[in-house]
Order: sequence, then structure tokens, then C-alpha cells
Amino acid sequence: MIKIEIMQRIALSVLGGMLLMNLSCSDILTEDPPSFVTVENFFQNEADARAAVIAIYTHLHPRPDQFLPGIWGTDVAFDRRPNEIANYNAPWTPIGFTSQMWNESWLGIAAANSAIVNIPNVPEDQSVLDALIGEARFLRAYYYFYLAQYFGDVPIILEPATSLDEIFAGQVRQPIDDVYNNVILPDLMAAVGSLPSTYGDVDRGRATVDAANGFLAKVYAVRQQWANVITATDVVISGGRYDLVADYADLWRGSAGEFQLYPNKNGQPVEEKIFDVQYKTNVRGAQTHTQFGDLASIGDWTPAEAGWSNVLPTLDWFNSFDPADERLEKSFYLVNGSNGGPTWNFGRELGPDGEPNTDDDEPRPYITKYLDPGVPQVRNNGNVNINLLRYADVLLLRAEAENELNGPGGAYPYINAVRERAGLPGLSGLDQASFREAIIDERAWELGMEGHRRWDLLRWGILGEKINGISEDPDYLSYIQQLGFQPQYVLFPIPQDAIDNSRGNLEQNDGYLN
Amino acid sequence: MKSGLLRQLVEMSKILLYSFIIQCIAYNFLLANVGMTQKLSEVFLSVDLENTSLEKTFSKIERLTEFKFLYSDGSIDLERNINLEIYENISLEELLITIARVNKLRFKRINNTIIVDPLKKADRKKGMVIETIEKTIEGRVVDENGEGLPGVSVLIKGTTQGTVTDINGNYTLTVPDDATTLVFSYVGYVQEEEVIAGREIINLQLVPDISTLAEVVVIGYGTVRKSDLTGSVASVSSEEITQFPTVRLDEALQGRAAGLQITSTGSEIGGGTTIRIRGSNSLNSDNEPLFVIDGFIGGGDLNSINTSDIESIEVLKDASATAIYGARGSNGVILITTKRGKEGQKTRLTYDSFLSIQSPINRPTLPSGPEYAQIINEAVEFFNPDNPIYDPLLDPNTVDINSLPTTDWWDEMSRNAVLTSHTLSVGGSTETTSYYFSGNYFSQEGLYEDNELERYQFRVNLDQQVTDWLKMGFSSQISRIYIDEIGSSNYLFNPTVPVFDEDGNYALNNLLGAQETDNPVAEQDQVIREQFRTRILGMTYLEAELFKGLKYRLQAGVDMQNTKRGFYSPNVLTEEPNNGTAEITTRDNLSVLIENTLSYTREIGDDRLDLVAGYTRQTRTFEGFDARAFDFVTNNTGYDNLDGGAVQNRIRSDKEEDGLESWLLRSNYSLDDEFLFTFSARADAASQFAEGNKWAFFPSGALAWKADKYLSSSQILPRAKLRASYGEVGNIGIGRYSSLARVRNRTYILGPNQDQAIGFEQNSLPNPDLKWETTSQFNIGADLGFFDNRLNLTVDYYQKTTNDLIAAVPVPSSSGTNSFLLNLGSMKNTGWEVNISSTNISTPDFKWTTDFNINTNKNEVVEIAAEEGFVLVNGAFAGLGGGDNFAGIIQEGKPIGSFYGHVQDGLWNTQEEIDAFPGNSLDLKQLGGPRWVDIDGDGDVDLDDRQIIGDPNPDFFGGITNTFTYKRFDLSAFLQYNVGGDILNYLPRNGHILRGVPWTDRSYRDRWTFENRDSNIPRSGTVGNAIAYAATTEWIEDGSFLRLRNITLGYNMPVDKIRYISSVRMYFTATNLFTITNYTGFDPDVNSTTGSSNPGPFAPANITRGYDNNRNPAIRNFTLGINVQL
Repeated sequence: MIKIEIMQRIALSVLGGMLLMNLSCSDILTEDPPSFVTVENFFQNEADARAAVIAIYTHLHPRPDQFLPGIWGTDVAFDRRPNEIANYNAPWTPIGFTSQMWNESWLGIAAANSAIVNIPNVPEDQSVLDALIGEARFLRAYYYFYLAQYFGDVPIILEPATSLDEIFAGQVRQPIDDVYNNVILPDLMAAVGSLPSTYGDVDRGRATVDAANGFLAKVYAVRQQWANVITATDVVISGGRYDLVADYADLWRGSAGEFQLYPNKNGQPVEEKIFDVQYKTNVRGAQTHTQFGDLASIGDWTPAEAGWSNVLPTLDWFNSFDPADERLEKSFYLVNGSNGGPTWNFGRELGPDGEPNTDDDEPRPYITKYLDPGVPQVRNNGNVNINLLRYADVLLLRAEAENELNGPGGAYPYINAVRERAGLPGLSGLDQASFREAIIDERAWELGMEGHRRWDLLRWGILGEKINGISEDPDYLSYIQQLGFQPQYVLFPIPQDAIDNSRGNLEQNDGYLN
Repeated sequence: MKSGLLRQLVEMSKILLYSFIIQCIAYNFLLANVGMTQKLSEVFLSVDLENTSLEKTFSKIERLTEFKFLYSDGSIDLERNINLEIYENISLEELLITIARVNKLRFKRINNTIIVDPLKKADRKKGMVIETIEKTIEGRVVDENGEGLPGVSVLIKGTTQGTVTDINGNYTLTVPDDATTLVFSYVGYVQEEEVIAGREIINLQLVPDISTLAEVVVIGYGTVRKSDLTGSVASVSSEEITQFPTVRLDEALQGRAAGLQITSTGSEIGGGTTIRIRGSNSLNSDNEPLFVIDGFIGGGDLNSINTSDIESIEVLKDASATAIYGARGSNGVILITTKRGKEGQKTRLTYDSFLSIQSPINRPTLPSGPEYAQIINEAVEFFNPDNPIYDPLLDPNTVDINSLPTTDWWDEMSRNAVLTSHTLSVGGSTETTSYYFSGNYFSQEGLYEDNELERYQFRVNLDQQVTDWLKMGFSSQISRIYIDEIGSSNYLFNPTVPVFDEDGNYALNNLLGAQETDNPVAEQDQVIREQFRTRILGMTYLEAELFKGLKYRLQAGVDMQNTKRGFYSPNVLTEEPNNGTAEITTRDNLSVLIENTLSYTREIGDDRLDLVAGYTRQTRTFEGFDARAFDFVTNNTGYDNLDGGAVQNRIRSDKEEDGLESWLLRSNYSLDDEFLFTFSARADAASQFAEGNKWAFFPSGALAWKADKYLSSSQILPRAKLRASYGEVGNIGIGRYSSLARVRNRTYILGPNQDQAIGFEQNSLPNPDLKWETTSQFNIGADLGFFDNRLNLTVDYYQKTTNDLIAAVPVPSSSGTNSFLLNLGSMKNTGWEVNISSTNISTPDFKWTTDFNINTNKNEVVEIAAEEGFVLVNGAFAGLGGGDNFAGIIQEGKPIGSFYGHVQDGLWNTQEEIDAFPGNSLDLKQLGGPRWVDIDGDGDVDLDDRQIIGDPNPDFFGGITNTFTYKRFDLSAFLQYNVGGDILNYLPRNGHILRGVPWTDRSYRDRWTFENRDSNIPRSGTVGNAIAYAATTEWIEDGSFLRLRNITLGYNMPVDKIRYISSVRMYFTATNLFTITNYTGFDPDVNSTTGSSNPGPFAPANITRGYDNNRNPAIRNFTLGINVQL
């Protein structure tokens, strides 16, 4: 009798327990993340492949810090922050600013490697995949090109790592010639072979065959392979898809959408920008204008919208403009202390005369590029793109190549097209050396503050000469050249964290503390 | 005046004393009379009994004495003439014996009655006169709250004769005259003996027995008698918790339990603590202990628990105790048991309420307007000595800086805050149902205006006996917390700016740069930062006794926590960049726990076996949702109308899940009540690890020996137990999905309208080899009771080693990520814990008890995942600025989180000193600037000259509580101490960074100037950005302190006359009345790691101990409270 009752109790409890166990008996130990995917279940279709390629572009975004080194520390601009790298006031502490330049580029390369290796396995038409792979290779080439410009020899990593050991071992730096010959040039050629010449509306802004050819020209210029520069630029120029817009200022009017076409000199709507880093206010806003300008002093903007005026053009460059050059007033605005202009901390800022700012001082120039004057600007939330390549650059590269190969004869049309838009008379009658000088100046006037200057000065081998030649800007002099430009400064130091993280495989550039 | 008052007091106490003495004497006198009872042999009388009938004899005796005769009609012949003689001065006993012999009677005396019976043969041996003097004693036994205690056993000492108290605690007992002492005993209370001393009413209050051997301790999946504990467990009772009011559970525990180190992280509302049980074990993960509330694993928001509802808290410390929680036990376990209705308890309604006034202990000292201007101008002169460019508003050439106004921003922003709490609870039971439910309303103001917390909390705990073998129960807690958060509590603001300008608008600071900034009062008044936290914690169980001793228990619970944050920054603020920004973020956490356990208990003679085995599973789900909008037309809708913003921006959502599956087992065996064995183990599998590494097994064993039986005759040491345990416990150590190769979305901009394009990329490397962090712990301990158990001593020594520490090692970014998690490293903690509780004085009226604990913990990093054997701790974790400013180091062979930096040797006082020193790598050589020691002697001060400059870990710490009870009064004082830990005091540093931040340090008046070269505080402006955040010895201070954390005076009002009310206690409490310390910051009890939200490779709370970046002064509380029970 008692036994029966106990059996009943057990049966009831077991039943109840099993009921609840059943309710809960799903597999709770296998992770199936709801809000992201894993590598295993990615790369299933074309959309995944496309997304993998889009991700590579995103490493262009933290550009302000990355493209500023192309400007400051040159003859066109300086950074008024106490930043060792920008101001050459050694001893440089090889950490900090360079870290982002280095790491962000490598993250871009890693994203490209992953796409290049995995996309071929996606079941989709080969031509579609090829175009995507070409795009990934174009971006990888850009990131390597960027690293090579600033750091020289860099590791060559072309596939996703499969083990920690492999990751560390891969950090050994390879000769820069190998970087060009085995990575940058083959990648760009592959891109030239597979990229489309244009995209549908939704995808505008992605790399085109013209972008690939344009960068090929830039790379060949660095390599001084002038015939190749001519070949590459010829594709862009004869392709006819790009032209100079009539009004230089239109290049920084982004309010109505970056790909709004502006009229060229014939009044036809054209594009001049070939490849941009793209921003949009409130979505991925740009920081660029914040670095350059003290907006409060030129527009109807509140202090919250004001910039930091960190990066300032040199007076030498400003004064070198021909007063008739239309680019002058389209590149600069002038501020002095009297109209609510900046009074920086502790009065450290001096006027152009080397004395404290007063109402009588000459105006200090600031950069207008990257501001869209018709649109209220929000600090760090700008709408204007950073140009990595535009048609004027291609024309000037072509002019330079013609001059280097055959002298100025065939080069005039290209440089004069650029000058003509600026309202300047065409050049003529120069010898090869003076034409070279003209190119050096023209590129500064046309492309100044667009991130190309340092690269140009480096490939011409005149970075130190130009910096030491600055004489007209006391502000500049008070920040830069404290210890003088040293030969090793042509390369940046490898960031210390990258060296630390490489387990001893990555070595520092000569002349820097290790 | 003063002496007059004193004299009056002396006079008054004299009068009181005299009246007291008189009362005592009178009382004794009365007692002596009431209790007088004479024996029959002591009563003498003279009586003429010639020719007297028996009846008349009796009445004559009754007239002459106080005795009465009692007899039943017909049983004896009353008319019989006994014809005795005339007696002179005969004892009554003798007379009765004579009468009995003559008449064959038997007399039995009970008190004043003499019962008359005929003598039977069987009675012969007993004698003819039997005398029994008895009396009745009655009284009431109450508990510590003054409430009648039912079921108390009242025994005549040395006999088995006695009674028990009724439901109201009343008893009546007839005792023989020779009984001298009554013994009152009740489980859980100290047994009391009362000498009768002739009294007929004996009332008594029983005192709970803290050290009682019968006390039961909750140990997770069961309970154990405290005397049978083999592991190291500290218990805190509800009496200790509610002795003085606390807002949060962790506050109530602070300094109360040995081995528990609780440090505040800030005094602002919602500011919490860090809790360490026996030191830190992990670098990468949270070191907070595991909280288990009524069996539900996972603590959540400590603000949501009403401390008045807590019955007991147990702190499980050694491996034997924590192994039952396996993979989550390595940081120790805190078990919280809430109140439930007790069997046989009548309904008890309790009202608890208190009111606190909070004020800062020490307010910040801020510069006046003129002082501020002077400091700024000195910096200007420093930067440009030949041609100083003064700020126009402070230019001494054009402005009389001494006439500048002063705004005391601290005064403008702060207040004395009020805190109130009301709790109403009912507990009790019927034959089959036990119940406890409560409601709480709590509101707290912060030290800053507009900083508030409001809480509603409800609890229902039910237990129902369904049949004699089946029981079901339910526990639940519902809480809603509203917090009005502070944003920028930045009283470090330019004092020359008024709150309002001439037009009545909030004034702006436009000093020191082109940018105008809003003043902090404007921010405080206009920015909305609110938080709503809702929590529902519910659990139900079913318990079936399958047969005697074997129980099956099924328990299922859910913990739902939702936090909604709202933010609105109105467009009237100058610094609002988006013309009004509104943001709502929500966080939803759901945890579901199902546990099946079988328990078996069997007693065989003096042996006892307890077995528990179980299978449990727990899943947790997290969901987040954020939305933000810009550009508002009106500020009136705050964040409640996101679609009123012209730009809807950043909509994010996120969801994560994890699961844990476990098997558990524990056996306790008590042999002969002398040897105790415990084996416990848990096997856990966590979803966070990759296949093949999910399961881990954590065993532990313990052994204890009770020497009581060999000591029972010893008064000095009647109780002794020795314990030893060893075991392993684990720590998950990683977040969800850490072993997976994640692919995350990123955004780029494409197309003519610049639309978002979504890209996906891999942003972590797969980590299939990751496994649990494992802590093995060895513990030996002793529990000793001295002097009749009036002095109880518990000593423990432990040694813990954590292996397979999980740490993120940095990897080159070419891998697509920045770090990789590895199991590499180990850490050691060793320490002593001593707990002494003693009853110093115990008389019925006065009692004095002392509880004392002292703890040491020595931490050593044995091995870490860094080739060099050390990792620098970025100061950003502690709010010390970002970049490469390191403040601490994790180094093999050193304690975790040691401070690391330069040794400062005064300031550069003269140009000669500067010229004499060659190196200047760090750009330091400035007159009045800090002079750092060239440690490596290479002639230069550079980064190589840093070393360990302090250790945040205290040498020892603990608490002392003294409690005095005098009649209805009780007084308790709780002192907390902490000796030997260093603090990196960041506060004065704010003053040295003169880049737009006003000088704020209390020591700014003593800074270096050309006139005041004898100073350690650098000259205004000398500390530039490059080295501003580097830690130096100047910032390291000794954080030792002794603090009167709490002093409470309570009074139990006499309520015997008041119907329905069984007790009323009123109390007054003061917290943080004084602190003895050399520390110059606000509060040495601090660990403020507010700063970077990105912890980097390690969890900041583990490695940045002893940082003080706390701008909020510590708080002093005065509280008035009342507790009423019906």
C-alpha cells in the first residue's frame, strides 16, 4: 500500500520534471549569434560578396587623421597643435598619430585579403565576381601605396592569416620595390582589367577603371616610369568620362549630393572627381572642415559648429599665388583678430608680423575647401568628400610625364587646361627644368590641402629643401624647424604599438628611437 | 553658562541615582515579605483540645494559624471527640502528627491548605503528615523585538518538570517551594536561567544566539547546521543588516564579513561599489562575486533589492563552499535569502521607515575669481614671459583682477539631500501556508541638484504545503527605479563667470579660447538624463518528498531587467551642436533558470548523511535598442518625441544570448558528530566556448574535526573545530561569442544621394581553444568557542592560484583585428581572515558585545600573456587621459595594478639647477616644473625612468562593531579600517593642467611661484599636455583610514499597554561621523575608475584599483528611523 503511494509520488514528480525539462531541452550550448554573422555562414551569395567589398572602403573613413599627414609638415601647411610628427620638433616619440595611419590601413588590407580569397568561392557569374575582386585589389593597392609612401618598406600580407604564429611571422618588412612590384602594381593592373567604367546610381562612388588607371599613373610617377604614366593617364583622358568643371569652387559644394554634375567650360554637366572618400552629415560626417577652419569667424555659425583651426596654410604658399589666380579666393578666407577671430590659449598665437594679433594685423588665411558655404556646418559632421583623385591631378601628372620624357612641348595643353580654369594665362616657352618648377608650383596651387603635397615633394626628393625654405610665415617657423628637418624625416616612424605587437618581427625606420 | 548646565546635569543624575537606589531597596523589601512561607514545624501554637471534636479542633487551628483544612464530607468522622490535652507552644507539625495517629488520618499540606484524608495502609510509609509547599509562577517571554515568543520551554532546573509558552509568549508554572531556578530555552536563542528568588512573576527577553551551534546556514542548494560547516562561510543576519538603514545591499555588507572587501566607486546616486572576496583572480573578466538571490543565480542591480526584506546573507569563500557553483564560483558567492513566513508564526505586520539628511563630509575648495585670474595669468606669463598675451577678461593691465566676482560653482550645484524610505511588510503562516509580502517606497536626493532616485519595490514570498509530501512555493520581486542622472557635475569651472548674465540668461564662459562654453548650472538645469529600471524576479518551486529523507525539487525562475535611458540636450545650450539632441536607449536582459535537484538525508545513530545532486540550465538574453534624433523645433517634448526631430539618426539594435548547463553534486557526511566530510562538484558547460572546450569539471573536498566532546568539561574552550578544504572553481572569463570569427556590419556612403551602404567584414579571429579560467584554492581554518562560548574566534588561511587566465594579447592589425584572447597566465592570492565575536558583559539589564574582523590579502601576478613579463596600464581606464599615459603596471611577481610612474623629487627651483642637469627628453626642465629622478642614471629623464611607485592593495582591513544594550536602549558603533593601500589621487592634478580647465585643487594656494619656491606643487602652466597625465610619486598617497562608518542609538518603546502593537523601535543613526586618515582627497574609501569606457585588453575594475578621479565628496548621513511591529 505504502509502496504504491511512493511510486505514485515518484511518477508524478518525474512527469512534472520531464515536462519542464522538455520545455527547456533545446540546445542552449551552441552559439547562434542573432545580431551578427560568423565567417562560416558568410560569403554565401553576391550580396555577401558585395558587402565584403564595401567594408574595405570603410577604412578610408577615418581619413582626416590619415590624410592630414599629406598636408602638414610640407610647404603648404602646418599643424598648430603640439604634435611632434607634424612639426618636426624632434625627438619624435614614435607613437601616437602614426598609429592610426598604420592600423587603419592594415585593417583595410585585411578586409581586402578576406574578400579576395573568399569571393571566388561564391556561386555567381565569374564576371560579377571578377569585378568585385578587382575592386578589392584596387583598394588593397591604395592602402599599400599609402603605407609605402609614409613608412617605406612594409610587410607583404596577401591572405587572411590562419594562425597566430603566421600573423606574427608575417610582420617582417619587405623591400619597397617588392611592395610595388608584387602588390601595388599587379593589384592595380588587375583592377584595370576588371573594374567597370561606371556604376549605376546606387553604387556611384565605387572604384572605376578610371580610378584604377589614375592611381596607376600616380604610382608610376612615384616609380618615375613616365611612359607608363602617359599610358595610364591616356586611358582616363581619352575615355572622356571626366572633365574639369568650370568653377573651381564647385568642387567643394557637396550640399546637393556629391555626384551632382557641374558644368565644364562648354556648359556641359561633367564630373571631375574620379575617386573620393565619401561622407554624409549625420550619417558618416566628416571631420575635415573642423580641422581647417574657425567657422565661427566666417559664417553665421554658432561656436558649437566652429572648427579648431588646427591645420593652417603657410603664408609662403598663400603669398605665392598670383593675385589673378581665381583659386586664391576659392581656397582661402581671411581672418584677423578683430572680427571675432580666434584668440587661442594664452595668447600663444601670433599675428603674421610675429607680434600678437591686433586689429591692424594682416589677415591670417584659412582654408575654405571642405566647407560648403551654403550649408550650416556641424563640427565633425561635414558633408564634403575628401578627393583622393580628380581629373586636374591626372592632367598635371600627364603634363609632368610629357615633360620628363620629351620636354615641355607636349605638356603645355595639360597644364594650361588647369591654369585656364584658374583664370591664369597659359604657359609657354619653358625649358624642361623650368617646366618642372612650374609643375611643382601648379600642383601646390591646384591641389594644395588635398593630401597630395607630401607625396609629391617626396617623389621629387625636395621635401627637406622646401621645408627649410619656408621664410615668410612666423607662425610656421615658431612650430616647425625647431631642430631642423632631418633626412630620416622623409619616412615616418613605425608606430611603437605595431612594433610591440609584432613580437619583434617589425623593425623601426632608421633614425628613430626604437 | 557652560558650568551651570553641567551642574544641573550632575544634580539631575544624582537625583536619578538616589531614586534608583531607593527603589531597589524597597523592591527587595517587598520581595522578602511576599515570598515568606513557613514550614509546619516552624509554626507554634498553644491550644486547648480537651473534649474537642475533630471538627472543632480544625477550626481552632484555623483561627490560630493561616492554614485551612480541607476534607470531603463523609470520609472522616468529624464529630468524634478526640479528647486531647492542653498544649503549650507546640509545633503544628507535632500536633498534626498526634491527631493523625489518634484518628488514623493523613494530612497533606499544599501551601496554606491542609487536606485531610483517612489513613490507608498504603500510605503508612509516606508518613502521616506530608508537606508540599508549591507556588505558581507566571510571566511572558519575548524576543529581541519585544514580541511574545511562543513555544519557549520553561523548565525547573534539575527536573523535567516544566511548561511551554503559549502563542503570546505567556506561561504559568506551578513549582515546588524548593525550586530555585527556571531555565528558558528556545532554538536560535541564548538559553537563560532565572533565579526565582521568591518571585511569582518572571518576565524575560531572550536574545538571539548568533553563535548558536544549532544555527542553520544557507550554503547553496541546501542548508547546513553552522556547527557542521566544513567550508569557509561568513554569515550576516538580518539583525546586522537592518541595525542601521542602508540603501544598497553592498553598503550593508561593507566591513561586516571577514574576507570581503567592498570599496565605493563614487558617492553620486547610483554610484556603486566593487566587491572582492579574497582578492582579484582575473584580468580580463569581472571579479565581482556571484550573487544568488533566493536560489536565483545572477544578481543584477543591487539597487533593486530592499535590504529590509533580507533574512540573511551568506558569503561563500573557499573552494569547498563555492564549488557547488562551479564555473561561476571563483570570485566567491554571495547568497541572499529573503524573508519568508515562518511555521507557527502568527501574522506580524511591520512598518519600517527612515529619513536621512545627507551632506558632504568635505566640500571642494575652489579658487576665488581673483585667485583664478592670478593663476591663469601666471600661466600666460610662463608661456610667454617676455610678452605675455593675457586674456582680455583677465588682463591685469586693463582689469583690476582683485575686483573680479567669484561664483562658487560647488555651492550653485550642490545641496543637502534628503532620503526617505517606507517599507510595509506582513509575514506569517497558517497551518499549510507561509507568506511574506512587502512594499517599499524609497526616494533619494543626490548631492547635486537634479540628481534623484526613486524606487518602488514589491515582494511576495509564498510557501504552500499541498499534501503532506508535496510543497510548492513562490518568490517574487518587482521593482521600478527612476534615476535622474547627473551629467556634467563639473564644478571645476571659471569662477569669474556668473550663473546668469545681465539679461537673465545663463552666462557663458568665453575665456581661454574662441569657443564659448555653457556653465555647469545651465547644463544641470537644461539637459535631461533619465533612467528607468524595471526588474521582475520571480521564481517558483515544487518539492516532493518521495520517501522519507529523499526529496525532489524543481525550481524555475525568471529575471527580467529592463533599463531605459533618455537624454535630451536642448538647442538653447551653446554647446549643443545639433540644434537639440534626443536619444533613447533601452537594454533588456532576460535570464531563465531551471533547476532539478534530488536531496537525501539520513541519520544513522550519530552519523548523518546529506546528499544533493542536480541538473540545471540557465539561459540569458540581452537586447539593446538605441535611437537618436537631431534638430528640434521645440524643446518641450524632450526625448519623448523623437519624430519631432528633423533628423532621425543612428538607430541601433543588438541581441546576444548565452546558455549554461550544469550537473552538480554535494555530499556531507558527519561521522559520530566528530568528523565531517564534504565533497562537492559541479560540471558546467557554457555556450561561450567552442565545441570541445565547453565542459569543465570543478571538484572540491573538505574535512573538519569537531573536538567538542573532548572539551565539554572545559569552561575555557568548550568548542573547537578544525577545517581544511581544497578544490577548484572556475570563471568563464570571456564575453559571448568570443570564440567565434565574427563578421560585423560597417557603413560606407555611396550613390548620388550619399546613401548608406552596408558592408560586412570579419572583425575577430576564431578562438576555438579558449577554455575556463580555473582557480584552485586551499583553505584551513578553525572555529573556537571560549569561556562558555562567550568568545568565538574564527580563523582562516587561504591560498588561491588562478591558472589559464584569459587575456587579450594585442595582435598586428593586418590580421583584421587588434587583439586575440588567450589562456595564458596565473595569479596568486594568499591571506588570513580572523573574526572574533565576544559577549563582554551580559547581565539582564546590560549587555556589551564586540565583533571584530581583520583580513589580509596578498596578490601576486605570477605569469601574464606578455613577452616582457609586464603590461602597462593605460591611465585612460581611470580617467587619467588617453593616449600613451600609463599609470599602472601588471608585472609578474608584483601585485595586480601596481602604480607605475616617475619619482618626483621636488621642483626645479633655480636656473642653476636646470642648467646643471644635462638631459631633457621629456621637456621637463622648466622653472617651477616637476623634477623627476633619473632612475637609470643615464643623464636623462625619459620613459625608462619609471618604476613601481605604489600598491593599491591594503596590508590589512576590516571592521569593529561594538554593541551596548541597556534595558530598552541599544547603542552600536561600527568602525571600518583599511591600512596600507595607496591611492593615486587624481584630484589635484586637474589643477595642474591649465589647458582650459580651471585650477581647482585645494592646494593651488601653495603652488610654486617666484615668491614661493618652497613648494611641491608645480608652477602654474608648467605641466603641459605631453606629460600631464604621467603618474608620479607626487600623486601617490597612503590611503589608510579608520572611519566611524556608523553609530546608532536605538530605543525600544514600552508597548505592553498598547493594544495590537507588539514593539516599537526608534533609532538615530549617523554615518561617516569621522575618518582618521592622512589622505588629502575627498574620501580614502574610493576606487573611481570612471573614464574610458573602452577597457582595452583588461577589465578596468580589476587592474585599476585605488584610483581617485572622484569629484564628488563622500557623504555624511543623519538618519531617524522607526520600526513598528503589530
